[in-house]
Amino acid sequence: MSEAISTPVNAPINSPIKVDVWSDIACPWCFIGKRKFEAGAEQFGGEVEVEYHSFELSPDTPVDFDGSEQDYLVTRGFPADRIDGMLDRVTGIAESVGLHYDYDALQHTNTVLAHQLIHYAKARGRQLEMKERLLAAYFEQGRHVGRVDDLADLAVELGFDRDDVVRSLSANEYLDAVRADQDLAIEYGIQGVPFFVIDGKYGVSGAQDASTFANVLTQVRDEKAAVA
Amino acid sequence: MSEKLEILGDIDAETCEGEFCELPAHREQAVMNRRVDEDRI
Repeated sequence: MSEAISTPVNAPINSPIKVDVWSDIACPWCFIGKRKFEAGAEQFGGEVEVEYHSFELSPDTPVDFDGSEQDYLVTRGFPADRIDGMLDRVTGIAESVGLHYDYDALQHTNTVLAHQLIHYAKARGRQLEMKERLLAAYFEQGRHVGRVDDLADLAVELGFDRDDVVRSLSANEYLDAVRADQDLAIEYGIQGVPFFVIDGKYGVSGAQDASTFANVLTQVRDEKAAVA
Repeated sequence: MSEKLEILGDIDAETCEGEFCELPAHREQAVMNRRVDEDRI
């Protein structure tokens, strides 16, 4: 199930353009890329259907890491004297698209349960809300997004039934769906995220400028119109 | 990349791959790739 993010006004085509997006929660460029894509879709002006797909950048990350983002990066071998500057630059770019990253509060964690929660919401037609909520919780609000109880808290904020969310996550109800997304990413040859597959035939990698997304969407619309 | 897809846009746009996220400033490595870490072990 995918969800429309914009409604066309006198759209020249009857069907929306499908955009499949592979991304992770713990991915700074995925949230920034999401904003840029949304801006591009707005510029495009036509109807777009977006479906997010799971991609785990670091599946061996522990659920609970006792330390800051800086501490975590040091454990991974990143030069300590470069970390603050790097995070400052990412934070600045996020600000440029209206996002307020807070690396001091960020809680590094494993994201496989968060991906399952996105699938849970998707099955109920609310995937986009959950994706946005989890990204904001992780990067802007310092919320933990790796544990069942914390994820259930976030789900309740969106109006989901807590007991049912806990049941689903505890049973790994959507783990197969997460793995299916990852298998599809492998089929496409996707190695980095965010990655956008537009109309099933064009690939756009990374946090591109909004105009790039608008141009690709326009190209696809024109091609559809020419065929019709 | 899959032959199924035609790649469009800036091929140098910022992405995360593994624990490696590219930075636009100087194209330096924002987060060290797990593979680098493993090489040290």
